Amino acid sequence: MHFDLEDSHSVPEIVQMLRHLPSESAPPIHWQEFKRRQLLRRARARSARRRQFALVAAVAVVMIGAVALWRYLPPTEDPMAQRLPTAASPMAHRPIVPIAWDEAALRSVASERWLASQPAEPAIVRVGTRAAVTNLEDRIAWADDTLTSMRAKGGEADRARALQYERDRLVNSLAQVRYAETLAADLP
Amino acid sequence: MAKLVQIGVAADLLAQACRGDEHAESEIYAAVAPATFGLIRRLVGGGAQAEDVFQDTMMTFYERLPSFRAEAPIGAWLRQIAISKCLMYLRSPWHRARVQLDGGAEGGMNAEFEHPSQAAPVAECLDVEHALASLSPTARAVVWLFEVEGYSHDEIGRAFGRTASFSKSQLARAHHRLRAWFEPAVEQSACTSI
Repeated sequence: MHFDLEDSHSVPEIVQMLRHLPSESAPPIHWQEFKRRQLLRRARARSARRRQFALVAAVAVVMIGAVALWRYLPPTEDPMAQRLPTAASPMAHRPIVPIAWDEAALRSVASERWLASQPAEPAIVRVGTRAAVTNLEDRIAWADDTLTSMRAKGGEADRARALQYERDRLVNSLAQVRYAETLAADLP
Repeated sequence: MAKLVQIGVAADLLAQACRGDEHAESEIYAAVAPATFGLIRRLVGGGAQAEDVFQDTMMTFYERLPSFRAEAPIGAWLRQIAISKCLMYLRSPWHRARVQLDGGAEGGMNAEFEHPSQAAPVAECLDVEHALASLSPTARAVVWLFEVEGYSHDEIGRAFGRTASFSKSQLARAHHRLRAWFEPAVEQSACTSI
């Protein structure tokens, strides 16, 4: 559809009428009401900024927890089976844990105490961390079962020791993730 | 009635308002609010949308008041803010969706204005307010900015994020529609004047 632009200049009367329309309208709100809404809106904006900051902080905490978890967890699908030396393998005759055995064990005991003081689930359950927590709890349970059966059978002291070390590390990782969850839940 | 672009305020009042004096702020509000709302109503249409845009405009105005350099009347500066807010509203996806729900962008704001020569009484035909309301929001804004506020096609195109041709085309369509609105009444010459 085409309109002739020149033709549009044949409406000067209409344009004049438009120009003579009243330029003022009674404002919808008086000054006090405007001021009240202004303050309300500023308060809302401040609150939104705070919420945004809290969300960023929570995401950062969860990410730190996830990174800590990733650092402590071995990358393979069944890490326990691969890392534990069998009697036939040369790993059985080598020290598996070269550093900080006692430190990890001590930390693990403290972590377990702290974990025991925590509720079974945090106030706000986050899907990302919950999956990691469940995974860690499953691995710890598996390690506990294996250790129990090893001790019942006797022998394999090195293997049991390595498994105990692995369990301590898992408990520490679990404590870190739960701590991150606690921090995130406490944010406003 | 003063046009917004012509409104000025005393320098000392402005200085007090910049310092946060509420009395000075309220005096400036009383001076500029009617013309500001009048302009917003022309561009956005009436109703709650105009009220929202008005409030947003005035809030921005007071926030930026300390940066006003008094090189032009304060009304001209406020007009820039108001027009910018109106165009932001007209370009917003919410507004576009609402227009579509109301019956399409070119369909005008109210169904009763669709066919004035058939549906509206003769006395209403010369009601230029109704004629303006029969335009789509975009066309109405273009007509008002070009014919009344004195914007050029280039400026309007830029303000809408389009070209000058967009403005010319919108204006031509709007003129056509306004002419169609007024034609029956002009022929009869019996309508009341504004």
